[in-house]
Amino acid sequence: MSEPLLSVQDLSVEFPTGDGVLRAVDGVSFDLAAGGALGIVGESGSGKSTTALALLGLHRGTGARVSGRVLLGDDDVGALDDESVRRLRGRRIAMIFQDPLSALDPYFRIGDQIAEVYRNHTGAGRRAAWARAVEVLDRVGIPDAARRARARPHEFSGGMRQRALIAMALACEPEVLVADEPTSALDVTVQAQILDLIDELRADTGMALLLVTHDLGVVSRSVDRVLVMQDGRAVEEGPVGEVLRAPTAPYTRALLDAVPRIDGPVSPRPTHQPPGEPLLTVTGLTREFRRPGGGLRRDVLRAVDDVSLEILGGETLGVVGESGSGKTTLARMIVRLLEPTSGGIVFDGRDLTGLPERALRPVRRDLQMVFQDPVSSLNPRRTVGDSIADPLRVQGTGDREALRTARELMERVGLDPARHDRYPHEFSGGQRQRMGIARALSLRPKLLVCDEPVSALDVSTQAQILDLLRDLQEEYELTIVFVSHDLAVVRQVSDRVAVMRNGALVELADAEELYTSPRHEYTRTLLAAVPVLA
Amino acid sequence: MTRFLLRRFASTVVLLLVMVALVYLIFYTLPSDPAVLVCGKGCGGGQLAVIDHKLGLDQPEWVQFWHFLEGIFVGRDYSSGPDVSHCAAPCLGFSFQNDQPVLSLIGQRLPVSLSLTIGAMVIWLLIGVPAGVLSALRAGRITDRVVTAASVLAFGAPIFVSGMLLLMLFCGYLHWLSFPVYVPFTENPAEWAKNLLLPWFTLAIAQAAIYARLTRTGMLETLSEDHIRTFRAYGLRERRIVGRHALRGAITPVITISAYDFGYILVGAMLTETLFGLPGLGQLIVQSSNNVDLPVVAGLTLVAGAAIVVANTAADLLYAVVDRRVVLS
Repeated sequence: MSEPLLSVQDLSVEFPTGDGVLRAVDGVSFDLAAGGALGIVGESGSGKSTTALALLGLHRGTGARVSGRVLLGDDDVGALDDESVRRLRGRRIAMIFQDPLSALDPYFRIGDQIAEVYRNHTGAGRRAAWARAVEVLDRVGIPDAARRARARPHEFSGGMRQRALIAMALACEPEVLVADEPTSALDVTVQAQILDLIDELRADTGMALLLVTHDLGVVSRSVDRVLVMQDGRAVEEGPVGEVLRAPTAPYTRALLDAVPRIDGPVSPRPTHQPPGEPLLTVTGLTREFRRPGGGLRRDVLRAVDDVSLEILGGETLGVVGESGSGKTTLARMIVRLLEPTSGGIVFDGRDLTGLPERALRPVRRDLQMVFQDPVSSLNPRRTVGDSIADPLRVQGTGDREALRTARELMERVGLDPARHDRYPHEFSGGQRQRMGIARALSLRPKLLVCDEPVSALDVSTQAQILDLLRDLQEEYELTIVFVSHDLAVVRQVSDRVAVMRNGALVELADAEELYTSPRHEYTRTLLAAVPVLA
Repeated sequence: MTRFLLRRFASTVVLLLVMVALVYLIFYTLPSDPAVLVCGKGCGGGQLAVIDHKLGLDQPEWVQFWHFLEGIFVGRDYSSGPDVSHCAAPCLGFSFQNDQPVLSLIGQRLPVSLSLTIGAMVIWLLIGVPAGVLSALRAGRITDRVVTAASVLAFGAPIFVSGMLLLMLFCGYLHWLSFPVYVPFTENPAEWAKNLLLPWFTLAIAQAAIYARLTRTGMLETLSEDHIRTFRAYGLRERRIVGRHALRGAITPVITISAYDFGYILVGAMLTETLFGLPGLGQLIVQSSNNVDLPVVAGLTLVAGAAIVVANTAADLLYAVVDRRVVLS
């Protein structure tokens, strides 16, 4: 390899905290050749984003202590004065971020924001800078760029915003693009388009790419070399094919094993009983929302549009779809957290349609829900034991008895029952999701609806929660509706899979059949967009 | 944008009408018989009936309200004795105690109150907002602590204490200023400003403290947002990031509170007005309340309400300029 463009030597980043010093990055070294592409993968807290920020000297003024060397060409980013570092940023090394909505200023036109960055580094005039903004927006595939440059960020879709941010990065033709989880907030089909765009721009401009991500699939398709990080240290580095095929570090192996595969073997489904009679039948279910700002006109959004399906006793029905497909709305209507606009729900032979809340209450114990965000779905001011015991109390169980059951459930879902008097913030994300599951199980429901239950979790934690759900399904004879945007995860856990798009049910089939021979065009598009591990 | 403006304007008009109705309800129909108040003590039953008739109080209430509205839009006549007084539109009622339409009473004092309010507002914004920005940029450091301590002190000092101290210092000991006397702006702008300096600062000191805190909170919040990080990552100068991108987000709550404060202080600065002997609306409302001159109190309530409503509309329009998303929702 010739002289590297970017060379990181023994980089460490420490954050002083209330109790001691947190060493977020611990002696990491790597090189990035001009035009090369390096991926940094790791789970949350591995120090991968902290490393990325250090490349641009973005820890300056935050109280973090950075040591080691970051060489960009001949410049040592750590040793330069603030003004010189400022001149590097955006001109020689540019960065794009995970959430493209919040990464752009909501108050300004997108074209102005890009032009501002361009003028900042080139001193170009207003008119020239605007022209450059339109040019790069056009380059990243914004249709009708001259007009769309006048839009503000909220007028763009998620994918368009990420394109706009990439356009900002392109404006000064940097040598290195640092992309921190650039597609993690996007739908798979949009993710595929953005990754293709980055590939194309790299080939076109010869800029080097440093891609930070938790997604091994994304790494596998987008970079040449990969660096695996764990707890602030680099545990393995090498060509991406080799590392993913024959990892040497045990951590990399464990990580790869935990990744749910869309193509690989499926872990066996519990076979305690053949899926039997329909437990819940949904017919013509529709839910409309009024769009805000419609004034007197009735401007409605049909979030779920005439969906009919059956959920068989003992099965797991996966529901997949991209954002806005109506999958969460459907899930909430199934447990009657949301009133359908029209259509019927029959649960266990009982028609729930239009049943008033009072009559519904005894049925509620059979219908429970697990939410995506274990942090916000638990009351931060109630102890874990109380949170798990609350549903029992609501249904009339005595206090002592409810707390005893809560402790048993904690033990069952893999939490230490001695910690029942602690508060949610003292637990990790995976542990909190275990609490959510324990709470949902406290009433021994027949149907458990899980809405993106593992989407906020790292892959290794994800695998543990999925294992737990499978065991519990067998033990409690649960029927599960598993809602997720992640096609690979859904494949691992489901007997049958329903695909939703724009509120409508597109396809419903046995999991194996849907993944091997999808019948609907949209299902095929979705499956093709998922990055596959090499 | 045009649709937004029209909608906002229409809702302002509706709000003003509702306010008129409410004020009318409170002041003209609920309390004791207005005829008694007009006539004074020791009025006989016969006299009351005559006054009732003259004031139109013997008519059904909705007719009276109609006349009141009519007065606002086209003017009306009042007669309490042999002579008839015309009250031109917009007529907010007639003060029999002063033998003048309410509006002309208000009109005499409005310039004083406007002078006081606008001047003080300019000063508290000029002090409060920069102090808040500085405090946020130096969060946790000595500058921040000094600003915070000063804010607590300034906010904690009642008007009659801070105003007294200013008076004693500048007029008593230093003799830099003479005791304030109101001079109309149209007569002598320099004297107008010189005489209002102390009242302005008295009002502004406490307000500036609130605005500094408000701006500091807003700034800290925006500075921690992702798009600020983006511009840092693209090498924009810190001065530009703060001045152009962070301040824009932090200023929105300041606009809201300013609108409310404007309306409130216009009519509610009785302490400052009394302390400095300024013949403003605040003094008028105190006098009229003491004399139970209900038409004047009602008129002032209408003016204060209208000021708040109009200022709020202005604030909304400002928002729409600052943040275009407002127009859409």
